[in-house]
Amino acid sequence: MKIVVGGQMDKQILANLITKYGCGRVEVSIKSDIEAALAIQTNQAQYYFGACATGAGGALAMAIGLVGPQHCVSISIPGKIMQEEEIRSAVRNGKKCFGFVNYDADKVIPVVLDEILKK
Amino acid sequence: MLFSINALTIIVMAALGGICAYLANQNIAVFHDGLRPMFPAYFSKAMDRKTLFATSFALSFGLVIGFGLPTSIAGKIIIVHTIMLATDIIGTMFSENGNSKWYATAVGALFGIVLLFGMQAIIDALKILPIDFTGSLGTVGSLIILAFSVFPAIAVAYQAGIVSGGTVLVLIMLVKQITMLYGKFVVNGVTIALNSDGMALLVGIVAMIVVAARQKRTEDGNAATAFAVFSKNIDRIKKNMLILAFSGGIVALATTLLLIAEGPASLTLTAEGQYAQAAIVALGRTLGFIPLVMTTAIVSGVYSPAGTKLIHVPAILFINMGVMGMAGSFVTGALIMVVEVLLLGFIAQGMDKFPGMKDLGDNTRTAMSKVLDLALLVGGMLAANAIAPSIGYIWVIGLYFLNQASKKPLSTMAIGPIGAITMGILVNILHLIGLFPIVVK
Repeated sequence: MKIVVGGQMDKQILANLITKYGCGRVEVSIKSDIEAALAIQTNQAQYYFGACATGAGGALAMAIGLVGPQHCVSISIPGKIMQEEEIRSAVRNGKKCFGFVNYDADKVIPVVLDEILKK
Repeated sequence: MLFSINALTIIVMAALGGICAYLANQNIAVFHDGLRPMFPAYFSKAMDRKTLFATSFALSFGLVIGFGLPTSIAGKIIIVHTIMLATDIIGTMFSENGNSKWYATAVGALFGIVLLFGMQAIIDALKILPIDFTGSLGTVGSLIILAFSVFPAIAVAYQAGIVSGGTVLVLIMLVKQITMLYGKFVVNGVTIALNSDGMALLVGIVAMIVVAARQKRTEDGNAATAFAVFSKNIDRIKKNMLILAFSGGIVALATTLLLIAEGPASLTLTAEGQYAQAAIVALGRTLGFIPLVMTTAIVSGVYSPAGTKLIHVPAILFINMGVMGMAGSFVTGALIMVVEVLLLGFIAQGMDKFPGMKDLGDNTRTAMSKVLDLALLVGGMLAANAIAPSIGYIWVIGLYFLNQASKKPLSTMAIGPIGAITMGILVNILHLIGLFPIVVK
């Protein structure tokens, strides 16, 4: 399974976390937000992760614009992290691009990856 | 607050709130970069107005309350997010048809006025507390003044590795130290002192641009092709150029009148009267935001009421220049918006030509954000300690980690200002129950 890290902040940290929780079953590459969103659009990768200070702007904007909002979700924004069950159901409902606040990376990535790997 | 409340500032705040709410209501411009790309789904009717409003509210409400208000209270100038994220919400709340657009505009204008009086009322209320801590709130930004010039080194490190970043870091320190020692000249009996932080910032930013310009093209450069399909969106923004120019003028004027500031760093520097340095910082932030604002505009057909934030740069330099300064600020702001809109097509085509500049934008925003997180946190600690030397550090350090452990964490950037303000309120409560005697100095 191919996962791209787009977004803006802490890309290397995100990639490390995804590799760690991907249990050897995912291939992670770091790209610019535009290139990463294009990779999802053209099916070269299955999932997009991005982080920024608001969890929605730099993190996810290009994915929303190029892939479409129906495939994207901000799983954490300032003042609110989605409940674990909410995140799991977002993955189950076919969301492909995930944006979050950079500080929440270690809280949300394990949940998303766990649910993705169940598929 | 640093602004004065008079007929002019009331009108400008009303105009600012009104125009921004109108732009959001008419789907012409919104401030939140994450809201902009939602609009194509709305235009194609895949998303209804209610969902658009709910998204806008969800994205922005927490930032207005948790980040905008405390940062504005601690800094004594309204940070632009407080008004423009709120007008995103107000604008999307109303239907875009018929008379509703005028309701949105009126509510936006009213919000601007309420904010103007409300902020001053909050400061006045804090001042009549037994222990007046408003003087210590300025300490929250103290590190920004002394250390913000570090950010280009961090941006370079993200872009080109720690050796280049480290080199720029040393360069920045050297420039600051040397300017401080030898940056004074006497010309015809007049002493001219170069601002060492300003010089360090300037050299850092130049170094950052040089590194970015040298970056080679990446292999998979297909962004321009992807963006070619969005030319209709660019036409849509161009169609609204006049009203966007008016918005740019108003935003610039409000900046010149000390009503609003574009970011926490330039806010602090402006509040301290260091306008040249504030303008350099605002310029740095513009470099960071050009790619984000322009790419989100191109994919959505919706612009930002403040554009790429470049309008703030001359607006800061026009502060304290009287009526001519205000007029100059308005006209320059309007012209910059026009130029930005006209450049959108060029940016869309040139997306692959300057890969370094796109990365520079991302890295600049990241570096600034990280430096602000730390500087405002430590500044908040220093301010809390100035208010309550016994428990100040404990409170803010505790607050920082409680926030990290929280299920609803606020922006890290807001913890410093919130920590200092709540510390001040806490000591007043402690004072009331006899646990915090006033020390006569």
